[in-house]
Amino acid sequence: MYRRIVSKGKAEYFYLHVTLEFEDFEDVPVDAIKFKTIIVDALQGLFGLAGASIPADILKFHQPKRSAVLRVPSSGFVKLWSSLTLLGTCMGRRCAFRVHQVTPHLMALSANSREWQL
Amino acid sequence: MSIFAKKNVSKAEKNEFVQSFLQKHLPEKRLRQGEDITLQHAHFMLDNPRTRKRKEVKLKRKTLSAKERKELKLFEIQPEHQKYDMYTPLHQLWKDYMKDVINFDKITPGNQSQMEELLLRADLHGAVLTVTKSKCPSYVGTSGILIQETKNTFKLITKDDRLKTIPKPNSVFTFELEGYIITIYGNNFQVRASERAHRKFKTRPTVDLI
Amino acid sequence: MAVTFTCPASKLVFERSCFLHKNSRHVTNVLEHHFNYGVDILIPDCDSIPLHLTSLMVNSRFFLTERLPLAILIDKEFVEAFVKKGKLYMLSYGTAIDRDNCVAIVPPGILILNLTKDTYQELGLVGKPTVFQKKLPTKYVVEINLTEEYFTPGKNYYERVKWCLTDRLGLVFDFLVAWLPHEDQISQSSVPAYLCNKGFRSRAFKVSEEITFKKDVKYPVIDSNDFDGHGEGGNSDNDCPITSSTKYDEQKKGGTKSDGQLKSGDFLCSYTEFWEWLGAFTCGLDCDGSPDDFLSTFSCPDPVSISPSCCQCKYRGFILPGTINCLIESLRDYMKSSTSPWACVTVHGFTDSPVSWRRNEHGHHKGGENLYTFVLFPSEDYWLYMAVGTHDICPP
Repeated sequence: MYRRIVSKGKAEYFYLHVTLEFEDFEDVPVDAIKFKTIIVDALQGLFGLAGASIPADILKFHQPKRSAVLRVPSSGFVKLWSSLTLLGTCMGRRCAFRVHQVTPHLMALSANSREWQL
Repeated sequence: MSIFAKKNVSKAEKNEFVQSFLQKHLPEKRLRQGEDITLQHAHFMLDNPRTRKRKEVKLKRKTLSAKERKELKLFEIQPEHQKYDMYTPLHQLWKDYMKDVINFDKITPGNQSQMEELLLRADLHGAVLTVTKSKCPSYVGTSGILIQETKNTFKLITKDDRLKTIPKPNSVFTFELEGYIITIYGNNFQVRASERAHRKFKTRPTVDLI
Repeated sequence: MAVTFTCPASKLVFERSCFLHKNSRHVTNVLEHHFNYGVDILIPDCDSIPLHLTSLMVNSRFFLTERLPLAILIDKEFVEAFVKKGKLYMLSYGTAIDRDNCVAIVPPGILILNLTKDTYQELGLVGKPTVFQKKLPTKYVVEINLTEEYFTPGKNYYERVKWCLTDRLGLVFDFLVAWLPHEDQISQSSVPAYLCNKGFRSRAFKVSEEITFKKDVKYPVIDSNDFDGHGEGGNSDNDCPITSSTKYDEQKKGGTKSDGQLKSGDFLCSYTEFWEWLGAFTCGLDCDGSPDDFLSTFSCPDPVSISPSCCQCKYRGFILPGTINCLIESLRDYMKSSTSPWACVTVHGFTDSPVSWRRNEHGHHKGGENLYTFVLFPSEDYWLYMAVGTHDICPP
């Protein structure tokens, strides 16, 4: 009856909870497709075509806040994260990606005790 | 060579021989310079007898060597002398000494670095040192009168009459003087007290923490 | 590409067992996970959640005490009244484990100080360097057992601790406080009342609740016995395959249990796929991606079943392990009478808690996650997922 399976080391996918912020807090309309393009451009800018081929999925996109949950295979995880961090401008505006949470377990993204306000 | 074979010649005979020998053989020019007389001074003792080396008389040291002092345990503070109260006069003396060294009323931000230089060269025996930061947490908070300083340690006598030897590296010490709190970074203080007075210290823009 | 970057490691422990089994460790697993930030419940095929389940969570309270000096916690009176009796849980609030000093009290009365290097070197209490950084540790852990006999005023160690916490560094933290009294008559709020007498203000909070019902939800079909997605021989996680005879038995049982929906030979959803789907659903993700979609290639794992109504509850707060244990017990009762094929309880630990399970040190590294999920089946079987981040010791 009893089984215990321990998986350690590399996970198949990594999940990131990110928000795109613009410097002047302007309401820049960004839809999911545009968001994905920005991410692919960021990857291409830093790692070239090989970077652009990293399959970063947008699992969830919240348009008003421009926040998203991304999924990326663990081999491309560091590349994705670094490209997001180093991205400074998109569509001619200064912007930044805030990476709120990073996890190999998608479940962990449903709660963030760091952003808990009492 | 026959002359050398002749033994038991008197000194006068020898001189006579040399004189005539020189006059006979030296060029006239050199004779005129009086070399026959000067050469006399440079003569060799042909039957050079062995001179006995004079033994050097060792000067007896008046003080003990460091090793001897160590062996005699002169550096060790006897348990009966490990009393805090015994050293409070030392602390008073030290305070007066420090007042002589540094004129605390005249410290301005401008001459502060000079004062620091003076402090660095000053003797610390008698200061009340406190360990404020250390890699080993047990040392933290130890406070006492400094009664001995070696290259790598401070020996403090604490208020409860215990002698503590605190290594200088990886600790930060402070002492209070006339309302100033002075911090010593042990890592950069690993010099003997006597050497410190003459040593040239480099000033660094930042101090590495432990 | 020539350059490869190593990604942080992940740790996931999966257990399948039965609540009725005498060696089942579900209770200890719950009780040993001290600091719980959130509980997510998911029950498919459920149109009304029983009141006693929700009231259990909503009625639990916790307190936030502001600017509490640590010296109060080692006060003999406090230790005698609350630490030694009942179960006291305290966690510093608003402190990040990878950046600040974090403090916690876990039963049975262990004060855990997770200190930065600078604080540790100044404080003067002996501890251990963090287990996660072998060279040049930047964090140190000091553990003080408050219930120890020698930890009384007058003894050297006590005086040293007291002196370190008051005279050396007056460490002050905001604390989340929850106390489980040893007797029913005593109120939970006696801790804040005591602290109030000492002049420290506390605010009471209730666990926040959010219940949503979702219509026509596609969910994967799972079977309690068939956790590794039967038929997937190439599954890399399946490192110790079950012998064929037991597998056939389980399959037969499984076939009868799932109301004849499945024919033998069907590929069921494996435990890893289910874990991902559960996460996606709890986060409110859209699971309808197709493999060639531009945005997302994620989809609900096959085979799917459609639930007319799916109940999802979210609780956030400082939740005691005991409460969660009660919740799981009530859910077990509920499962006996309900038609739901399974129910899930996910418990999220605090990202910045200094301990995960037991007194295992917890760190942040990249994510700082420490959570576990129970999947309850009507047959009293359960699946347990325990997930932690890189900087964590593997769950018990």
